[in-house]
Amino acid sequence: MKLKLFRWQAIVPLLLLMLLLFGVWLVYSDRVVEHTIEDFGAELVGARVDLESADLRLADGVLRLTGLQVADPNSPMRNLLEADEIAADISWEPLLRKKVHIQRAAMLGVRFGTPRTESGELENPSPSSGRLLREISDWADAVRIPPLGLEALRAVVNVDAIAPESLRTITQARAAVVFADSARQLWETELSGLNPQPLIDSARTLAERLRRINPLQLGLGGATQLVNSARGTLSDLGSTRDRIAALNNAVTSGVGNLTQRVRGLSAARQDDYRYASSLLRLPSLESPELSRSIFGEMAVERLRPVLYWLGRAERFLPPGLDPRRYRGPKRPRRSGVTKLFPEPQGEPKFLLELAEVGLQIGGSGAAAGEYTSRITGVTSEPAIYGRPLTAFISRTTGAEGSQNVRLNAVVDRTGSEIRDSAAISVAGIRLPQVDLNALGARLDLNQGSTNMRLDRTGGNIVGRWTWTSDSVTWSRLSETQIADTASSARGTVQQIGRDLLWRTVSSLRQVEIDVRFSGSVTSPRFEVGSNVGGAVARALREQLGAEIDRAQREVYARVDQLVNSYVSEASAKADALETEVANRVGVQLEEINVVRDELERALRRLIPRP
Amino acid sequence: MYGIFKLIQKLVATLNSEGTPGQVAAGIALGTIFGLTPLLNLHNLVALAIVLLLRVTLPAVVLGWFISVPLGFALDPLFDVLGQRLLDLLALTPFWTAVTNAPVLALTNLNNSVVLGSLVFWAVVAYPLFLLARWGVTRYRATIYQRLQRTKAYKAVRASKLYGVYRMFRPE
Repeated sequence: MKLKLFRWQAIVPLLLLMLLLFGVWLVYSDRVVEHTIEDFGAELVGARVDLESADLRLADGVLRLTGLQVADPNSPMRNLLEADEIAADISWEPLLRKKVHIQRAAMLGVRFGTPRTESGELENPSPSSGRLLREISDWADAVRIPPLGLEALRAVVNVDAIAPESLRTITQARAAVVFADSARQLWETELSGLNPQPLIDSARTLAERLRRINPLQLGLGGATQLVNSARGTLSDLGSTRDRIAALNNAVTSGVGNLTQRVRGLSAARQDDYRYASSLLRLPSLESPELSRSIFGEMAVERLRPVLYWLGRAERFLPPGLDPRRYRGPKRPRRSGVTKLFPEPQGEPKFLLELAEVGLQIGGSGAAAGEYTSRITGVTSEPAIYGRPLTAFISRTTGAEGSQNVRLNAVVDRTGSEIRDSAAISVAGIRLPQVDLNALGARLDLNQGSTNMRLDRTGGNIVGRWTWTSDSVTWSRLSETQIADTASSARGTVQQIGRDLLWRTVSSLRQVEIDVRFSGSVTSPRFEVGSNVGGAVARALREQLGAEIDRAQREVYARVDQLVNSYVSEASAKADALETEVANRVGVQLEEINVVRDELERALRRLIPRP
Repeated sequence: MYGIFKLIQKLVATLNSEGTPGQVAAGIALGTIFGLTPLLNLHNLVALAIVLLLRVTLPAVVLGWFISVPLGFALDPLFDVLGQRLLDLLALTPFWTAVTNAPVLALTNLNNSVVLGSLVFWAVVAYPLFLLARWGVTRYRATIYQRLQRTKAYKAVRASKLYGVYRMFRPE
């Protein structure tokens, strides 16, 4: 009997099964979309993204989301953004290629910074989110903010606190001495190994003999032997001269290196002066340094989210078209790695062509009013889309005052190099309060303006962020309110300084803070300028200048006392190396050259040229 | 409980008499795809359609699936490595680009290392597994089952009340 291959009667059950699966999809598609958005959003933001409901109608090409809450990764009990409703026109055809194309999206009822009932922190953040937060924390921890301590004044300066091993000059001087000793030993061994003196002496004797001899008396055989001997000696002299010349070059270069090291000790000593001053918490009298002391913590806190979002954009808006890797989907089995292969002539994986966001901030506060925003070209593969992301936000009407809010941003990742720029200008709104531990005061910036400009090219950023207000108010922080970082600066003497600082800043009504940052995206440098720093510098000079000078002189003298012997030893070693070894090598080289010339002249006399 | 009992009964019946050894072996080989590869993927829907449309022994499919589920979990690290190697092969980049951007094919998740690694592994072992299973079923029916039928224990079981219960549920 011939075995039948197909089970035709299974077609109907199979079709029924497909229908059943389709029915299941219809019932659960909204849940699937909801979970997908929540999971992808969490991966994108690095914090929880919650959605009340999703309604996908593929036949109409509409996706409607309600109750969106995006937690702030830097402050998990607050929402970065909350939207009542999002409506999007979605194409179904790209979905067959596992791509999402939204032609137009509108967000309604958008609010920022709303409180959350439960923490938005992720239980298992992705490795990239965790790494980014760690990198930013490491950067923030490594930022050096000079202390503004005054306890070293009006008291005996305890210079014993300056430990010799912590001074850079001593370390560098010791290294120079070690270098000098080892170089000297090496070169002397090499010079002894070469030992050119016997060769020089024998060459000199031979030259003398050649000068005195009469070639006619020697005969042909004797003259040939003497000439060959002279030529052999000349060859030996040549090779020895080459080796000594090589040694001479090494010695010259080494001595130069050592001299540079010794010269560098002056710069190291200046660093040590600064370091020792910071140990004793001597306040700087320079305005930039004081501004950094006063507003450094604030600048770090404000730059944290900027760096975080730059890092997130780095991951989800990468330049170029190289294949990208992501963690696979969550499932009982291993997730594995999902690798995306962008198609240069195709369509991006995700594209939001146009988003219009109508923002309304209610109430009668300074931020209240209506805003309009327009974002174009949000895509996961900018190089395929070929156009940069642009964002524009502007305030249309304000509830009070002459408020102005504008944001312009261009995120260009279409080429192989990142080129982004953003400018935010906010005027006439209520600026935040800032606790300034260094001053022991709280600054309420009240109504003012803030501007930020950020440009990124490749891995480097250049930016400036300013806050200006002419209606600031000050209040004193109690001892318990002052953060632990400044706790070491408490006490009676400190209180005297605090009183001085308070008298200085509390009369200021107009404040400008200017933070400029530049460098790599992961660890930028920054400088702070402020009229508060200038005012504090002037007050300190007037009130404490003489005492600071006295304390500083004591500190410098202690540093000098600790480092002088090491610097002298390093200088002496460098001089000795130059005068003894270098000169010896030079003399040997010169001697070989002289005797070589003598021998050549004597040889030419013996064999006159035609 | 009744369902499990019925299933075991069907599996034993499958090995003993239902279908040719080739049909049983094909069922086992096809069934392993559901256990070796992550279940909720499009290729398994295709595999299900094939299983239903071809005259393979369906209980053998379930047997193959059950046997391979723990194997799939255990071999996931291997599948991950194998899949990543294949996805990283520069020569295959144009192929993966075409597959992952093609309609419907893009939904197969072949660009996931575990899905790809396990599917390739199954494709490689499926035919040897089929041959092995066919030989095994033939041998079982020719030797072990025959000998089993002659044992006193088997006869005692057949005469027991338990076998009476089994016969009550035995498919006609």
